Amino acid sequence: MNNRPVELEVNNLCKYYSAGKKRVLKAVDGVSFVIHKGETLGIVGESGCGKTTCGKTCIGMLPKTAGEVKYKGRDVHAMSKKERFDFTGKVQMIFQDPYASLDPHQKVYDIVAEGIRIHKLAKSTAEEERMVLELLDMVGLNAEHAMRNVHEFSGGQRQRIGIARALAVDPEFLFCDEPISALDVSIQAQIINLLMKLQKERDLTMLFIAHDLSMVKHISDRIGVMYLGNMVELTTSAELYKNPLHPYTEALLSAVPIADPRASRARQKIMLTGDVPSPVNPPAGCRFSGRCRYVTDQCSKVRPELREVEPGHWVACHLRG
Amino acid sequence: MSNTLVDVKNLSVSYFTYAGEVQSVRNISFTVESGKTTALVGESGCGKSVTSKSLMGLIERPGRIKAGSSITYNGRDILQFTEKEWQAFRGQECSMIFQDALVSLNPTMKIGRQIIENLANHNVNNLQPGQLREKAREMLDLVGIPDSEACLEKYPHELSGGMRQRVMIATAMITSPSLLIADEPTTALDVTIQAQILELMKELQKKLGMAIIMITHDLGVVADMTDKIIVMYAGKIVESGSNEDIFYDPRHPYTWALMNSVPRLDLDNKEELVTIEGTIPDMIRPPKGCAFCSRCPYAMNICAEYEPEVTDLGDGHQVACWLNDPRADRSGVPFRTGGADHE
Repeated sequence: MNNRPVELEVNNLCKYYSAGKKRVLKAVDGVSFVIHKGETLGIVGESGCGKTTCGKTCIGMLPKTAGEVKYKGRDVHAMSKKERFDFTGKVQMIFQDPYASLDPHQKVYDIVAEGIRIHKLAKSTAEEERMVLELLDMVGLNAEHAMRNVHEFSGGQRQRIGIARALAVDPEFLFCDEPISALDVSIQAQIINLLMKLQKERDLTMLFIAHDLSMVKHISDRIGVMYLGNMVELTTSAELYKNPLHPYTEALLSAVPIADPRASRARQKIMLTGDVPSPVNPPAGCRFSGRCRYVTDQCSKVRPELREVEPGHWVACHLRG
Repeated sequence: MSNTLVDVKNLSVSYFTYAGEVQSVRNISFTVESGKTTALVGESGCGKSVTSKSLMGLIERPGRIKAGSSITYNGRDILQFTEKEWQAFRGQECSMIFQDALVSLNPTMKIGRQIIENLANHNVNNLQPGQLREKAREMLDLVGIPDSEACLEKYPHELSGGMRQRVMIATAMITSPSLLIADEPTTALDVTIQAQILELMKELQKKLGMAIIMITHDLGVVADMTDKIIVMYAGKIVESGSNEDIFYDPRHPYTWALMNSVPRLDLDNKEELVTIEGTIPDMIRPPKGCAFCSRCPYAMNICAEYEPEVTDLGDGHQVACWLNDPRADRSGVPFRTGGADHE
C-alpha cells in the first residue's frame, strides 16, 4: 500500500480556539500523518480528543491555526476559489447524524442531484436522472425512493442517502465522521459493508473517524490514536491490536467490550483512573501523564515526539524506542 | 439456590396512538432472580425499555398494560398497586438509572440535595438531617467519587460524564433497593469510562447484593457481567438463557446475527460482516407469523404463517424459533455457530 502516491499529507497541524480570558483551547496540537491513495486511515479516540476537528481541518472545512495540509501536493488552506471548487469535487464527506445532515425539505432525488448540478457533471436531464438512479441503486435504495421526502426514511436508509450524495460527484477522497455511531448494530454492519465495497470498486481513499475501535479496526488499513489533541500512536490496524506500544492505546484496547464471556474474562484489563483532562489547560509534557501507570519524572516535563520505533509503527512515548 | 424476585407473566404493553395500536411488548414472560444480573438485549424499538418501565409503573398514556398481564415482585402483584404503594416501591424497592445522566439529574439542584431527597422520601430509619448527609457522603465514597464532601455541594454540570453517571448510581442505590434497573447506563460514555462504570456496578452488586436488570443493545457490554440474557425482537422474547447458553449455544437466527454483525477486536478478519437485511417490522401491524421472518435467511414457509412456539432446551434456555422443531429441515443452518466459532 505504501508505494502508492500520497493523497493527503498533514504536517504539524494545529487548531486552537479561544476559550475566553486569554485562555486557549488546543483542540488539535501538532498532528502529522499521510494517507496514501486507496488507503483507509482510521482515527480513534475518546470524545473531546480532537479527532473530528482534526478531520474537518484536514479537508479545509475549518481554518487551521498552524501547520500544513496538502492534498495531492496543493495546500488545502491556500486555494483559490477555482481550486477550492475543484477540490470539493474530489473530496466529499459523510456525517455522523443522518437526521441532521439531510435537508428535510428536499426530495432524495434533489439531495443526490445537487452535487451533479453544481459540478455540471450531467449533460442533460436524462443523464442526470440516470446518474442519480445509478447512485441510489449502488447504495441499496431503489428508484421509487427517489421522489420521497427524507423524513420517510429510517436512520440506516438516511445514511445511505448521505453516502449516495457524497458519491454523486465521483470523489477520490471520502472523509467519514463517525458515520455509524447513530445506527443500530445490525444497520452499522450494512453501512460498513457498503463503504468497504464502494472503496474497492472506486479505489477511494478514506479518512474514517470513529470512537468504536472494533469497527475502525475492521475497516481501516492503518489507525491513528488521538489523545487530547495529540496523535499518540499510528500504525497498521493489525499491529495496533497485537502490539500496542502507547500506554493509552493499551488501556483503550483493554476497555473495548468483547462479546465473548470467556475471552473477556481471560484478558487483562487495564482500568484507567480519572477522566480526560481539559484541553484548555492540558498537562505540560505528555498529555497522558496524569493517567498513565508507567509515568516518570520526564513525562510530566517533556512532551514526547511521535517517533518511528519499528518500521511503520509510530508512537509518542518516552518509554518506547 | 436463588429465589425469584420479579416474575413477569404474559406482559403486553400497547401505545394507543392516532395511527393505531402500537404493540410495543407482546406477551412476554420472564423472571429475575434476586442478587443476579439479568440483561435485556435488543435493538431500538424492540420493547426492552417499555418492559423495564412496566416494572416501575411508569407506563403513561397513551400506553397501557393490557389485561391478562401480571408482574409479581416478592410475591406481591405490583400491577394492582395504588399510587401510594407505587411511591413507596419506586426508589425504596426498585431504582432506575438512565442513559443520559445530564438529562436525568436536576441541573438546578446540588448533588447532595438530590441524593438526600431520595433517602428522605424513604426514611425508614428516621434519620436526622446530619445523618442523611453523612449517608449521602458515604454513598459517594462507595461509588468512587474523589473528595465526596466537596461533591455534595456541586451542581451536575460541574462534573464529567463518568462522574455524573456515578452520582446517578449513588442516588439510585442510597435506599439499598433490591432491584436496580439500568437502562443503557454506559451508551453515552467513552469506552474507558464505560469500563469503569461496569466495574463499579459489579463491585456494588457484590457489596450490596441487589439484582440488576441491564438494558443494552451491546452484547459486549454484558458479556462478563450477566448471569442471564434475554434477547428481544419486535416486542417478543426470541431467546433467553444463561450467559453461557446465549454466547456459546445460541439457537435463534436473530441472536446469531446480533453477535456476528459486530467485528471482534480480538479476531483478525477483514471479510464482510454478517448483516441483517431490512428493518424491524411496523409494530402497529406486526406480522402474522414470526416477527423476524422477513429478515431471516433461514425462514421456512411455516415462519410466515404461525408464530413459533417456545422450545425449552433445558436449564432455562428457551428459544422461540421453528428451526428448533424436530420436523424442521436444518440443512444449511449453522446450528453450532456462536460468536466465537464463526469467523
